[in-house]
Amino acid sequence: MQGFGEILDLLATGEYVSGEDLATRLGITRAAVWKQLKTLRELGYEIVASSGKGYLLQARPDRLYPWEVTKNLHTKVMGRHIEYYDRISSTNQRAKELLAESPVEGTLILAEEQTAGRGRLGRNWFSPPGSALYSTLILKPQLPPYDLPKLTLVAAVALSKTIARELHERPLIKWPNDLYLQGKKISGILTELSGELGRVEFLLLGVGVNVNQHPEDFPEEIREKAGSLRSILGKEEKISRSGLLRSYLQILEDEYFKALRKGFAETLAYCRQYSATLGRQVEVSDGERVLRGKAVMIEEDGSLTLEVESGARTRVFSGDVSLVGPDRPGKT
Amino acid sequence: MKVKEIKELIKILAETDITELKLERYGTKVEIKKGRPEFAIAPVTTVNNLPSAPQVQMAPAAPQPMPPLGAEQAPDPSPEEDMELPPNQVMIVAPMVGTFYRAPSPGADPFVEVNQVIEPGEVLCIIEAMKLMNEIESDTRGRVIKILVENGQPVEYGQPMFILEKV
Repeated sequence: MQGFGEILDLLATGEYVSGEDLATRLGITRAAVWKQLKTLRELGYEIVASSGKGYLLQARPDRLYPWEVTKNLHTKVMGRHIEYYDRISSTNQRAKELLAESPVEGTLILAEEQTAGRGRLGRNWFSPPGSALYSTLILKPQLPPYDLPKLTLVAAVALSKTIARELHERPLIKWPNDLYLQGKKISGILTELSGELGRVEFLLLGVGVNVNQHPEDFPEEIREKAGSLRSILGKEEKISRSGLLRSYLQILEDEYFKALRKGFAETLAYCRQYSATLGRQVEVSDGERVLRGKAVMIEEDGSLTLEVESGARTRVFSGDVSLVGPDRPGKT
Repeated sequence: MKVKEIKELIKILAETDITELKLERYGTKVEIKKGRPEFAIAPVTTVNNLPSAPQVQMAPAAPQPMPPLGAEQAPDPSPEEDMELPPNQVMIVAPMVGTFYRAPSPGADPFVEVNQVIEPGEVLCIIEAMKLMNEIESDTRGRVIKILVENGQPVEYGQPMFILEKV
C-alpha cells in the first residue's frame, strides 16, 4: 500500500493548503494530488475543501495504517516494515507464511480484525473489528534456546510499561504472558518459534490488546474476567491504538535489546515487582494434571515456584496458570 | 598376537601411568591408547576413574534442567538416553524444557505419526514453555520409527523425543 504520510503532514498543519501547493511540495501533478485526496477520503480521512483556500484535514480514521504507525516512530528495528490488513485469519498466521520470504527483523503484521485469532494452542481469541490491537512482530533473537521463553516476559514488561506511560495506570503481569488491569485481563501474548532444531531462525511475537471494546462486546461468559483499557479506565474518548502501538514498539525495542545485551535481570525484577501472580493461590494446568499452590517466586530462569500444601516447593515452567482466591477472576 | 595377549597388555597399561603403547611384532602392529579426552586439562586420572569417552557437551552454558510441572524431584533419566543408535538413525532431543505437544491444537491431527517419512524443515512437535510455542522441525529426511514422549507430557532439556531412520 502506498504511503500517505507526506500529504497528510501537509494537510494537517491546521491551515488550508491549495491543490497547487500540494502538487509543488510533493513534486507530483495536480491530477495525482486529486487522486491521493480521493483515496484518503475512501480510507476514512475527513478532508474539507474550501474554494479559493484549498484543503484541510479535519479528522483521521481510527485505523492502524502503516503511515500512521510510523509517524514519529523512532525505532531502528521494530516496525520499520509493516504489513497491514483490514481482516486476516491471524497476524501470527500471516507472519508464519511470511517466513518463507526471509522477512527483515522487526517486520510488523497488523490487522483491524482477526477471523481466527488464536490463544494458546489454537484456542480462539475474541476479535471484533477496529477496537483491539492485533500485532505480530518478527524477530531474530540471537539467544540459546533455553533463554528464548523469557522473551515472553520481555514483551509483557514492555506492554505493561507502555500502558503505564500512555494511560497512567500500570497493568500487572499474570505469569507469564497476560496483563491484568483492575483485576481484568486486557492483553495476551502468544510467542511462536520457528526454525530447525537448535538453530532458531525466527521468533513471532504476537500481542493482542483489548483497547476500545465496550463491555457488551465481550461474550457474557468472559465479561467478568476480561475488559478493554477504555472501559476499565472509564474513558469517554477512544484510546488511540496507533499511539499505544508506537509507544509499545519503542519500549519493546529498548527492553528487547537490553535483554539480549545484558541479560534478563531487569525484566525479571519488573515481573516480580508488578506481578498479578506472586503471593496468590494459583492452579497450573498442563491440560491433564492440575497443580495447586501459592506462587512464591519468579526464578532467574523465568520459571514460577509454587509452594504446595505440604510446604514443598516446585517449579513450573509451562502450563496454564489460573488465579484462585477471593478477589480475582479465574482463568481467562 | 592373540587376543588374550592384547587383553593383558591393556590390563598392564591400565595399571600404569602410561597412556599410549605401540608394539610391532611378526608383522602385527598394535597400538593402545588410554581413553582420555585429548584435551583434558587435569590429568589426575586413576585407573578406576578413566573417562570412557569424551563427554558430549551440548551447550556449555546450559543451566540445570528444570523440573517439569509438578515434579518435586528430578525424574530418573529415561532409559532411552543411554540408548546407542545404529548409524542410520537419528535422535531428536528437546532443545528446551517445556510441555510436549504432538498437534498444533487440541483435537487436531498430530504433526507426525510413526512410519511417516518426513522432510527437512517439517514440524515434528511443539514444545511450550512460558507461552512460547517452539515448533520443532526436523533437520533430516527420515522415517519416524519411535515417538518417545506422550502428548501433553513435560520434557527436559536434552530429552529424546523422536527416533528417525534416515532414508
